[in-house]
Formats: sequence, structure tokens, C-alpha cells
Amino acid sequence: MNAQIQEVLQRMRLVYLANLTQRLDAMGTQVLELKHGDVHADSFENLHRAVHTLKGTAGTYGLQIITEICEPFEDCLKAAHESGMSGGDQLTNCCMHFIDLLREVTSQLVAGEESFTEVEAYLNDIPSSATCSPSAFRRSP
Amino acid sequence: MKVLIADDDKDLCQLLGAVLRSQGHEVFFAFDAAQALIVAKNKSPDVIALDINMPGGTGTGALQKIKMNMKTSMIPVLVISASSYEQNNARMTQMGAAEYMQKPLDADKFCAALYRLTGQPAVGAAAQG
Repeated sequence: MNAQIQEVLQRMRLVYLANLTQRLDAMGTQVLELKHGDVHADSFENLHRAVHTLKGTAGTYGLQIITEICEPFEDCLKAAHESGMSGGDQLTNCCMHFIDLLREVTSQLVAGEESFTEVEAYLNDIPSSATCSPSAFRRSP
Repeated sequence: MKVLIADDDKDLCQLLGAVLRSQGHEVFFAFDAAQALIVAKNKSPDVIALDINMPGGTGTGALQKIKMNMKTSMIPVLVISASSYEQNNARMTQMGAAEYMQKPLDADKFCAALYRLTGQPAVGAAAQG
């Protein structure tokens, strides 16, 4: 990689990480809005957009583990939306679970951790999860 | 070179802007489709990096307008999106995009695509061997 680009990425990554917790807090607030049913028509869409954006941006900053967590998170939101579910306990619990995971990983990244074997193993098991996989939100035929 | 980055994600704009400026390029930003067209017309960039998933699905509209406008139609557009390459590449190319790149972006590949589209030599390419 171009050394200049590498240097810029490293510098910018630190700033991005420093602000990430705040973004995750905002995402948590959006989820709580869904839970309480006190929702604007576009709350679900805003949450989906926030996760979709985080997925794309974090990876560009070199934070692939964040992107990897956002993938199943976004898939669950898509599946819930397709099933006509835009609130409720099951969805909000699942969202909070992903946000907690993102928070935990963010703290580890800030602390300089680079290996996320356990989280990756957990993500590999998500398709078989009864509560936090896209299939959990799909309607039975 | 002069680059317009049109994306509603300001974090991404900041990063790509910093990367391009570190290579000595001039960078303009637009955070929605309407702004993208105005900046493209006023600043005449050499290349445009355009997110097609800006709010309201307006990115594709911006691509169409850029390609239909006499002042901007010849500017190569690199479409960037977190949506899959397979889903969008053919459609975007038909609409006039020069290339499609899926997010997360690799900063090196992003710069390489811009150099390729503008026909300019990559900064630091000789030093890298």
C-alpha cells in the first residue's frame, strides 16, 4: 500500500474510532424508539440506513470487524422489514445485541486489539441463532 | 486532478478527501444529489465518485442528470455503493457510469480507479516499483 495513504488512514481511523461510541449510542436511541412504539414513519429506515452506512464506512477505515458485524445486523433488519415487522421486543432485542457487540469491539479496537477470533466465530454461528439471525425474522411459508 | 466526491456519509467523504489531498489532488464534496450536479457543473472535476444510495434513492437520478448535462456528460463517474457489485454493476454501466466499486472501499484501489479513469499517472507509483 502507498505509505502516504497508509499514514492518512491510520490517523483518520483514530479519529473515527473516537467518535464511534457516540454513533452507536445514537443507534441505540433509534432502537429504543422502535421498542416504545413511539416511532416516526422513517425511524426504521433511519436505523437501517445507519447500519448500512456503518458497514460501508468502517471497512473503508480498515475496521473490517465492524463491517462483519454490520452484515448480519443489516440482514436481520431487511428480513424484519420484509416480514412487515418494524418494532417489537424480538427485533429490538436483536438490534441491541448487535449494538452491544459493536460497542464491545469498538472498546477493544480503541485499546489496540487487532485479533477478533472469538467474535468472528460467533458471527459464523449466527445463521443457526434462533433469535438473532435473518431467518428468525422471516415469516413461515 | 480535481475530484468530486458525492456521498451523504461525511465520515467517508472526510477520509477519501484526506487520502486524495495527501496525493496532491483537489477535492470537492456534495452530500446530496442536487448538490452533486451543481458542484459538477461549477467546478468541472476531472472525475466524480458518486454514491448511488444517497437518501431517497437520489444517487441514480444524479448519475442520469450528470450524464444528460452538456457540461458534465463527459466527466467519468465512479459509482460507489455498499450494495453488491453483481446487483448493480451492469445497470450503472448502462446508465453511463465508467466503473462500479463496492464499499467498503480499499483506499489504494479507489485512488487507482480514479487515476485509470482520468488517464493520469498514480502519485507515488514509481516509488512503489
